[in-house]
Amino acid sequence: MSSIPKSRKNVYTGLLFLAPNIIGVLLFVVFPVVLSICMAFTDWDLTKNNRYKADPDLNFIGFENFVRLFTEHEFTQYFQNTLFLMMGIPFGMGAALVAAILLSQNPKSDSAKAHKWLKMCTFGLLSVVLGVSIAMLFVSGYNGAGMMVLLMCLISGILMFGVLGGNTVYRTLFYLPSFTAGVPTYVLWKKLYNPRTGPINTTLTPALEKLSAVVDALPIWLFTSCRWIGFGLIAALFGYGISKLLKMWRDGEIGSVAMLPTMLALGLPILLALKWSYTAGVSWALLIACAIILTVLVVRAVKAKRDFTCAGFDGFGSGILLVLGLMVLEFIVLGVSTVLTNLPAMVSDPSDPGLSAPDWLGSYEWAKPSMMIIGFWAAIGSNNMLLYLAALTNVPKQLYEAADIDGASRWARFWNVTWPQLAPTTFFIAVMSTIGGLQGGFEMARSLTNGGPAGATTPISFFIYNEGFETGRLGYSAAIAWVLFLMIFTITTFNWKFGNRYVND
Amino acid sequence: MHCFACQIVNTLLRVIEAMKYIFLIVAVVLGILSGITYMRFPDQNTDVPVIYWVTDPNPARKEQIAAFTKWQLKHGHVTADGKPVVQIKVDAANSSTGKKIIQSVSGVGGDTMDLFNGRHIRYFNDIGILEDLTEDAKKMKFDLSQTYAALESELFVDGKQYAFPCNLTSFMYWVNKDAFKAQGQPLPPKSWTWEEFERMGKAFVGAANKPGETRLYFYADTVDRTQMHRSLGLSIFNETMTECTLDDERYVKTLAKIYQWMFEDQIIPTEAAILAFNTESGYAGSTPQLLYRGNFAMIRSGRFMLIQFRKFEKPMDLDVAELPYGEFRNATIATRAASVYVGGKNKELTKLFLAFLASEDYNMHLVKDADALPPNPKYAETEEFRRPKGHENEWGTHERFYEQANTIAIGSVYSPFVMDITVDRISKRWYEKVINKMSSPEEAATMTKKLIDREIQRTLHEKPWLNEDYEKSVADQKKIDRLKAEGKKIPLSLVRNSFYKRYYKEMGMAE
Repeated sequence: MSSIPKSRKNVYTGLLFLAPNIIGVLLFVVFPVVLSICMAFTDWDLTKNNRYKADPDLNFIGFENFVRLFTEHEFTQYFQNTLFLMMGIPFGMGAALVAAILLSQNPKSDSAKAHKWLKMCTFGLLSVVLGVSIAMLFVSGYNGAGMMVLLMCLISGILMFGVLGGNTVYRTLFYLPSFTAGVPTYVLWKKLYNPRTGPINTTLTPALEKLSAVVDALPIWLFTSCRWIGFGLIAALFGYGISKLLKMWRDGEIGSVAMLPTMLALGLPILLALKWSYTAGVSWALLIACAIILTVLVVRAVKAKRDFTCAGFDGFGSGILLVLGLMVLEFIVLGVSTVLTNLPAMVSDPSDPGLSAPDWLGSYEWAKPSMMIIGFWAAIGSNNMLLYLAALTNVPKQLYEAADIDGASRWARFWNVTWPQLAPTTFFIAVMSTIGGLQGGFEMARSLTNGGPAGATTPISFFIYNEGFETGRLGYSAAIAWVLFLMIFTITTFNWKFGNRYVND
Repeated sequence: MHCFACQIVNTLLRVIEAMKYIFLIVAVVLGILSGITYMRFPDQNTDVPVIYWVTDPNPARKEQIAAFTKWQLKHGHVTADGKPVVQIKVDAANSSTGKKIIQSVSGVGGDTMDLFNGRHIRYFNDIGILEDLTEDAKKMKFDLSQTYAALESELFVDGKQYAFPCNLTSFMYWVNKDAFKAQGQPLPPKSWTWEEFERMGKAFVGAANKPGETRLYFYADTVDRTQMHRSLGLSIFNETMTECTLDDERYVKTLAKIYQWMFEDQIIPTEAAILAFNTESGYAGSTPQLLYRGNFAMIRSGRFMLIQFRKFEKPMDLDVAELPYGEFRNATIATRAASVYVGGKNKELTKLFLAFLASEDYNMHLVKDADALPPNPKYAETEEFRRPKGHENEWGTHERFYEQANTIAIGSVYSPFVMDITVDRISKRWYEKVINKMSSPEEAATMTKKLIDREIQRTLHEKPWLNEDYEKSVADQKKIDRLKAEGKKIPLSLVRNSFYKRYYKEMGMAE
């Protein structure tokens, strides 16, 4: 033993210490991953192959599982569900950033002006909360909304407590969703969403009753015109997006090839309007308007020629970032204008007169948005908020001082200093949230809706579980899991390729 | 500054040096804790074997375990020093299907597992984790002769027995007589048609709810889709189980009727309304409270609901009614049955537990605490069952459950060519589309049939050994179809579907 050189002995000692970890990773990570790849190409079925089967039947079936996956309607629906739930990610990120900015303000150590401002805001907010609570009590006839008032008072108390106790209180409270176990939280949300006794609907119901009366009293043309106002806004947003993109193209910030998918993304809400039963009949007008705008702007840009050039796919990240924001706005305008247009019809529907509060988790239309709201709530006080908080403290003070010297407003300070400095963090959060979004939803779906109604809230992760253990098709289940992995990998690679470039810019 | 950095480095080095001792201490502590945990296992505290019963967290289990201990002592199943030969522990934490399967295929399943109906028994048996009990059941007297004949399709697969019922239920409507009296409405008859149900239901909700306001009172909490289409003479599968037959106008009529009762007549609540009521939860959910409060005049449930009813301060004046039928009176039957895990270490002792389930001690226990119907029907003929002391408000209801299970109840239908869970998932999904107004009954019926048939073909592709049986069954089906077209009687030897066996017999269509 003494002949072993000391350096080698050190290596052995090191390996010995690392061995539990290495063995653990090999056994519980590497082996299952490799096994699941193999499983995905087999017909591994619990009813055909397990330790109790005397004559196991396991066959290599090539890509059959994958082919079946893409030809089945179920997978498409569940993938769409997952994507729908992921639509809340940008909002969640935005909310986490706002929360982090608010929590980075220290009322005790900041300037007296800031402290005064915060105090004023707090008292202002308290007054509004109190006013709204009392108004709600009046509207609801002193019942039903009691729970909501209680919640409001709780929130007000927290605000007050925070102002007096400093932002540590807020930081702890905001981070609450992250260290609260998922299932109890979802049970609580289930209570909040209760269509009859939940505080959300007990507050909404009297308000909607009043709104029904107002809608009934107003002339119908007022609502019909909302559609055309909405279409006008969508066309304006579309035009703005195209002109911005063309300006980037002229300035050599985006390549010609990258222009096509970004323009297409901008047109997605218009395509949806053409397909959507509520708007399909009239959205040809929107299509024509946008086509004219596009033609005019493109012809003008081509005639004017480019000032600078760049490679075909350059600037795709910047372009898509701009377009995504506008696209979400277009969708919102389309949704709101359609709801407003249909309000009189909803109010006078003979089978269900008046506006009724949503059946949050029980109806096909509302179940997904309800889950998205929970996801949004959880995202506000999540690890993302902590990451933003940490990143905010790392923004060099000199940059703010320079901005102040230049006379920058608060918004200019944020847009030109804070936001660019947060870009690496935003990029990281976007990547992680996308991965989490594609993988997630299982716990929520299982606790709240069990995937229903009619599969409306079944995400892919829940589908994997169902196929694996409810029907025993482990091979197929593994194939779904690997397709999910490929999606995550592709999106992450895409993010690194384009998003990262944008960050470094 | 330099010195300060040196100090930090030195401190870190000292911490790293101490790490090996920390590792050692942690390892020793974990070792000791593992030992303590092991010593605290139930098996370690007793000198007789312990078996685990994977079941639901029903409070009645505690008393049932105590009864098992007494039964062992009474019947001489004791050790040399007079102790029961086996102890049983409840494992309620692993009662979900997924957990049972994962643990069983990993070799650590519970010794005896409660399975719900033939669906689970078929699935678990397909996986190969259930012990064949046929011979032992005969020897130890827990075979089919000790329970209801209608349960054959729930307990047997290919002629082999894999479980014995812990209890069984044939669903009826529990009727709160006080709710009817309060609205001045007549009580429902013992059995009734859809038309009668609809007429009386409309009158009830009309009297109970204020016009123009949200409905708070409903005639019944739900209806049974399967029982309804069966009552029109339609099963989910054809006679030989080779094809789904739900693309039939009778299924369309069933879906349309449920929709009408739910949205137009509003005599049964929508899913949203049920959800809205669910402010309380617990064993059996909030439906007993809603029946008690009169929000539901009737709830579809089994005798086991009495466990909840008996907790109410003021006893309800109770009655029961059959579920309404279209043309053919029928009811469904369900069971929670105990099976034996093939990988268990104490299989023989576990079978002793199943023998206990067929015994007088266990059955009379169920008679007393009203945990559904006792598995052995002869104990449902006792006076204690029919007229339990101290529960006079229940008299007249108990025997009706027994009669229904013994007469019009028909077990579920399971095709060997498709998994029942898949069939249920597809039919439920399209039913939900209808009640969410996303699909018409016609489209739902067509799609349900199409998707179930696709699953049958998929199963045949995945399990080619089923093809021979399938081809033979298809040939039999052709014979049946020809006989039906010619208006001739059908030989029951060709029919595999338990519903059609009974239906053809009762309708005089069987050869």
